[in-house]
Amino acid sequence: MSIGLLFPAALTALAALALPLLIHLTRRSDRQLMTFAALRWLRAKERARRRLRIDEWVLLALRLLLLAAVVVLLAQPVWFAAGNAQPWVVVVPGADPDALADDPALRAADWHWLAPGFPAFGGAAPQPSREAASLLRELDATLAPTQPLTVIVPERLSGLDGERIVLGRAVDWHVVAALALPAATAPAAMTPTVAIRHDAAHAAISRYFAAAVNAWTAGDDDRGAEPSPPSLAIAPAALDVALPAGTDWLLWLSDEAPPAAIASWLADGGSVLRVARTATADADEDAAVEIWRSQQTTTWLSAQRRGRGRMLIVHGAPDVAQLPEVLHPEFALLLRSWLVPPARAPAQAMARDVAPTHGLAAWPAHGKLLHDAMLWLIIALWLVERILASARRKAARA
Amino acid sequence: MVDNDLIAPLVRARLRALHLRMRRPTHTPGIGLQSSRNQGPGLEFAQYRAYQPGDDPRSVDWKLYARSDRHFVREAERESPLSVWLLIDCSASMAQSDPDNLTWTRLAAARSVAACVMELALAQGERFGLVAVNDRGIALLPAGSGTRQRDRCLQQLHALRAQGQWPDETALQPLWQHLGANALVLLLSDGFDEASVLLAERLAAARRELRFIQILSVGERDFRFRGDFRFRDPETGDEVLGNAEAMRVDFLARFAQAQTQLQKRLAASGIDLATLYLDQPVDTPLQHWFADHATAGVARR
Repeated sequence: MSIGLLFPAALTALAALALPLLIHLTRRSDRQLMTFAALRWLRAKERARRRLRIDEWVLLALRLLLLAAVVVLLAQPVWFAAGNAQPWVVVVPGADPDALADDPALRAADWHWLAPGFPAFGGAAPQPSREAASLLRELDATLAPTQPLTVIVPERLSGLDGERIVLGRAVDWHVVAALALPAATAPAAMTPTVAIRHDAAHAAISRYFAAAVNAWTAGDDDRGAEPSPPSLAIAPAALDVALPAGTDWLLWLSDEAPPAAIASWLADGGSVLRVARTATADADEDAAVEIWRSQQTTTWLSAQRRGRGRMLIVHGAPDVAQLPEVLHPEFALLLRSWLVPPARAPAQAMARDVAPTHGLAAWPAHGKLLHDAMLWLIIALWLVERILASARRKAARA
Repeated sequence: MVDNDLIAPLVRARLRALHLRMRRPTHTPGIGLQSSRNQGPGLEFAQYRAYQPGDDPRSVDWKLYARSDRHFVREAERESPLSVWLLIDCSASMAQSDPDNLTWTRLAAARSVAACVMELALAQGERFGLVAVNDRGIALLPAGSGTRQRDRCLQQLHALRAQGQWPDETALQPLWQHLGANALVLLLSDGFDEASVLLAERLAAARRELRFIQILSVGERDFRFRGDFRFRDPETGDEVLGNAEAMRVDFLARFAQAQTQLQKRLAASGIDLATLYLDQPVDTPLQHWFADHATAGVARR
């Protein structure tokens, strides 16, 4: 337990204590004026007025104290709790804490969910957080350095980020069985299904795109290991032809905006590459990121998020003259690199492999601001000072 | 005219037993109870003196004026009764009073004493005059007798204000022209001004019979103040700070010593000193001197 000051420079205001002292020392107003003609025989003499002095000292001390309290308030005092050793247990949603609930060492601890706000454990399990690692770091910074922390994690921990979890304290890392394994997502198909839609103006260029897409699996045919799937024979189709089910990527070669059906498919996770002759093709232009620019013409390619899907826009006239890269032999690879979404950092790992390490300096202790207490103290002092001062005045008048 | 403001009825009653008299009887026969050698309107020419405002124009010697182009007043020695002069100190220190009775100042007491003396003089048919001095000027009422003179003096008394300091010697020059030899002069003052004591000594040396009524406040006698004070001299404005209880013993000793010295000094000049404290009846000094059975100041010589 200790008290610190956030703004110690304010203590220089303690110089103001000289003010009541000076006033007290120079005050002469309590002397009564007396006309006295026989002044010649009068010699100045002060008496040691001990009792009266003490009365005044009490008032003076009160006023000094009042000023000092104001100064301390300016210096922003904080109160650090004495070694708060209350242990904490956080349960990652999805972990089954039953195995540890009876542990006598943990029974007295504070149980919380590892979720934003750290709600108390016991209610319904919150949604598994996507930022488990970040929450752990936050908790480490929030708790007092002396508070032991136990983390109960399922075998498979999700919500990780690219950084290893390094905390300011040693953490008791309990890996328990998961309550219910999250449904394993099917691994993405190696060869995406591609559809091409074009209008009359883009019929010519659509053939280049179709050829490039077909080239992705051309090698498979050569190897002859498997018969080429029929979907691979990419054929451009008119705009109004509906997309086949399971389409991953769509090349929309038209100046028209895609219809609502395609927009909703896009928001559901599809990827669309479309052409736009004008630069302001979309209201969401801000979020667009340039991912490629032609070295020969002014054509460039932007990508932006659209719901869960991805929208790629070719800015410029998509014909052979403006997009000469379609003639290059490596256009197939180029097109694929456009369409493949950027890789993400792994967010999931086996919990025992990502146990936090103790490597950070302990976070500075979290103090409690004492503003309210100081204010009440000042008010109380001021009231007592007023009462004393007015009582003295009344007594003097009586 | 009954002036209860200046003379309380009880005091007025006691005045009947008093009679003004001189220490040394004069042998000039006169009209009044006492005789003296005062100048004034009369039969036998005594002297010329310079005209002063307030002199009766009939007394101006116009023939002399025609010759000299100056106004002279012809004064004759007359068979006059005892002339009593009231010389009142009107300096600012006379405005002092005691804290428990702020209106009863030294000057108020002096007024009362003067009124009493005038009543006595009136009753005896003596002549009386009034002089009030401070450095703002001298208020002089020439000696006269009768109730009109008394009323003039009372009016003058009421007009007195205590302010300023004791005047310097030149301003007191008219005194010597009016206060004739063998006049009975009652000086009402606090006696704190060295100049006032000097004047008394000089008047006494010039054959005026002087009686000094020193008016002192209760605070000066007892000094029973409590607490811290800023004592201020009303005339000089000097201040002394201090605690009254602590200063008391020293002040009383020094003040008593000063009083004793003053008494000795006045006695050496043949001046009678009586002290009137503000909590005493105003006729106390008069009783001391002029009571029929009193011996003070009479039998001493």
